[in-house]
Amino acid sequence: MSSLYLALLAQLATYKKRLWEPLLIVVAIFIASAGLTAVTLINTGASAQLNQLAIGDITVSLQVTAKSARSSVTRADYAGLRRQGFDYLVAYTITPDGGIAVDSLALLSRLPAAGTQGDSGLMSSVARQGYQDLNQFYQNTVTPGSYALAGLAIVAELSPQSLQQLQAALPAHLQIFPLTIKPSGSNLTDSFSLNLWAMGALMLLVSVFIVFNALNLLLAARTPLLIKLRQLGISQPVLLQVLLLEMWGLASLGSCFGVLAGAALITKISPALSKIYQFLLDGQFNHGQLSLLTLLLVALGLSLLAVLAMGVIVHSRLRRCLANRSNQVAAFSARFNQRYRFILLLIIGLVMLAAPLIASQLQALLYIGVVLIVGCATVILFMPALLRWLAAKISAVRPLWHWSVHNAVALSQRTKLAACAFFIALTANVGMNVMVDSFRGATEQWLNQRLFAPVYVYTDFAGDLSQQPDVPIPLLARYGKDVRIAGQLTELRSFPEGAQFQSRLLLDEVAADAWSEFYARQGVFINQQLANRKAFRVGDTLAIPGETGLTERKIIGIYPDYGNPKAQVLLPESALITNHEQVSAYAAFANVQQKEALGSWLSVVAPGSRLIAREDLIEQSMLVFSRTFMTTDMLNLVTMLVAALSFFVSITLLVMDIKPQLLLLRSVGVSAWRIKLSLFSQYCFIAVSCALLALPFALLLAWLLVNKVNRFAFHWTYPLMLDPLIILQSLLIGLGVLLVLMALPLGRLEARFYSQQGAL
Amino acid sequence: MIAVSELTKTYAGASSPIIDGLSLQVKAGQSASIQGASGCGKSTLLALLAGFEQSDSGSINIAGQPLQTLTTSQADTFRKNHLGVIFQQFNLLECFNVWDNVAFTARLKGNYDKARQTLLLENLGLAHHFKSPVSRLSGGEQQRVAIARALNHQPEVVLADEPTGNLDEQTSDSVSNLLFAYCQEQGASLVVVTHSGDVASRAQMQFRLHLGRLQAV
Repeated sequence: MSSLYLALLAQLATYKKRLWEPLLIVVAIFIASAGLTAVTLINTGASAQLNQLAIGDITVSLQVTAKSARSSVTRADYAGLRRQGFDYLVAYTITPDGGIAVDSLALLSRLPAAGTQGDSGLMSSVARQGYQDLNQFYQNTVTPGSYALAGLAIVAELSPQSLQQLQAALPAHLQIFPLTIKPSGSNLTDSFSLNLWAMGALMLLVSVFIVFNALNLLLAARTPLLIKLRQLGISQPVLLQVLLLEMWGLASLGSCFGVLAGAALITKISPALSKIYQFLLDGQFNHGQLSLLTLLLVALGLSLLAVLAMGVIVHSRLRRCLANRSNQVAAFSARFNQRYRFILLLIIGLVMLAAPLIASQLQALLYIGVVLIVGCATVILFMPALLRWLAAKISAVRPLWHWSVHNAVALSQRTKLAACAFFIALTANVGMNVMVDSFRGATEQWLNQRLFAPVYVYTDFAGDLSQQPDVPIPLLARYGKDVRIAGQLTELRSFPEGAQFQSRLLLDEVAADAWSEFYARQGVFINQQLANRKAFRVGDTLAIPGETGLTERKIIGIYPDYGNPKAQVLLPESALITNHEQVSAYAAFANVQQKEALGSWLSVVAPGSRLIAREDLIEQSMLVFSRTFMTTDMLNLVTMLVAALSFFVSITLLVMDIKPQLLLLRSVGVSAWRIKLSLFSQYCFIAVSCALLALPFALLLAWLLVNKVNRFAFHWTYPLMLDPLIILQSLLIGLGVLLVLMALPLGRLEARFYSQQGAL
Repeated sequence: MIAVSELTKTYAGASSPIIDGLSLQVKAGQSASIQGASGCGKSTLLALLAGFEQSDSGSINIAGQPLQTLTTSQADTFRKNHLGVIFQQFNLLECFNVWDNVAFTARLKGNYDKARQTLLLENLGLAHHFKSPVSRLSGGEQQRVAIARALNHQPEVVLADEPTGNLDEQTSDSVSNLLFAYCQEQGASLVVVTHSGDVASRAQMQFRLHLGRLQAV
């Protein structure tokens, strides 16, 4: 016990002279923890927004539901409760295809817009939000008996007293329970969720590297003292305990303060986030999903886990504690020998070759993890080699430059874990930006091609407007019908006939004589979502349900259909004109005068119809696009900032170690300004070599996101567009953040040179 | 070559000056040793001579340059061209091997000469270590590298702070022999701060620093 106490005392005594060491380590862990907390809270806040059931303008957060899986909410329960005056209860259920069916009639009295919209308006409003009417759902063979109600949504904001009253009135088998629903098939929601999930995982990975880098730096700083203590007879287990105790203390301190800071930051920016979400997602950013206590406990637990994992390295370091320096150098050199690099190159080759074998979304995400880990190994093994190669190219005639590059090699070997965190953030940033840019380009091109008319009409009109006798200009109807093809719920949609429209259908794959087969009703075009879901290829045959049974049609082309989660088949207009179920939109080739006339006509024939110009439609679609990626951009930036801060802390710590060398440079007449420039150039060498190594991995990541993650998550892909400007911009933003941070402490460096004069 | 007159330096908060009207003259090719108790101001005197610190009064004239009139950048250039400094803790550039460490000052000054450096390293017993990383050398070898670096650019003045403080007796002898011989040969003025009587005795002028002034031993 006394040796433990003495060792601890000796360790703590170093704080008097080198307080900056533990302080910077606490700061590094604090940054990682704050970043992870912020990303987690943004993530949960955004996810909660997605998972909330919004009916009309009311967000529903509570429901009455069965207490156990053995019981259920019955129609009698529903009727009974409504009779008792609880008319804010609205029955709902989840349909087999993942949609939501609600009791639309019960909603009438609850929604503020009911009075002004009328029944049909409200119904269509509910329908537009993607909800089905419960009474329509329970038809034919589907009954509440065979397919139970999921619950009774509480469509009101209840006071605690009202909740108590409801609680008291509930039958024994029912309870009040939070309502979180994720309606599947909502436009781009899955994409958004996946992005949030991926960014959270990325931040976690970056944080792991940051924490281990910080602990590794502490271990490096403590090693000389450990050697002395070992030489004085303190046993290895005691030293291990002391070091782990210090590590856990510092990690806990950093992580807990980080959690508090991250939570405070999100609380501070919550109103701004809410405004952004309201504007872009028509929803509220729901902060406070995770309690602070939970977050603090998780932070303490993760700190303990990290320190225990670090214990393995500490144990091995302590065994070598009495080894002399040359042995350590030899061991260090051996670690970076040619054999390891060859093995790594082999692994990189194998990883590349394995890419086409990815066959599921989980495999794709795991593969991305493997790519990032292999990338980190590349940084560890090749960054010093790259800098060494550069050092060999710099002439010794320029001694300061020569020293800068050589010292950068030394720094790069000691900052490899921090470099890995930065590498991951930079790779993800570039990869995501290339992917988003490709998606944006493809979507824009697709929209410009598919929206061929200057004006579009969206309406709830029950019939076919294009067949109305007094229509002022010809309207091209887009007829639709939903069927099941090969077990897959599929939209049948019409495509206008005529050679002038052929170029308006962007096709990934197309058969010879496709259009003549299309017009002859022998062939159909299918979207990527159907092709990828069912592994259909051009030339395969589809059995399409029709009025007279199944009709065989050849697949003559596959087209992109971005943003649509559903499978779709295009038929000639004439094939659907007589047996369609709905008309999703009308295209009108109208000039300004004709548009006005059409508008006036619609206001009489189909009030509530929307007449939207092509440009506005494209703009709205691109707004949906922006909203999908805005949060992920923000999370990406936070990750980048956290990684750059950690790198900065790491470098600052190491530069303090080379102060004697800086003093030497001053003594031989190198000006303070040139030393600062030299140090900054070293940071640049490290950052740029990290960026160079990140680039190929970023492009691979972009390819994976486009061709694998999108393919399995949303069943669509698009061409990968490598815009040098976007790539350069993404790299420069990452490098800029890092270099600005690293340049900040250089301004104060001069004072430190002179503080070393005691050495003279 | 070194002319110091009535030099005074008082640290902020100190009751008495650490250097108090000190004067010293060391001509080209001459050597001076300075001994004294710990904390008596030996290192401060070297810092003043190197231009790292400014004196409160008095003058320092080295190689014809009055140090107190130099701007920061002029002082940097002065050190690069005229001064060689040897540190007790060696202060080697760890990322360089022996050759590049020694070549650094000469390359900086612009008088790098491969043959001269080879001879210097051979004379210092480092012929077999040209390519060795400095971290693999023993303490004595590291100090010899530091001495070679301080001499390689042929400075007119060499300032050495405990150059043998970390060395064993035998190595200390050989290192100080080389240092004194080389400075005499090159016509450089040498000022050595040391606790070692042996090292001090090799200097042509021997002083003890006491109460801020030099006393001849």
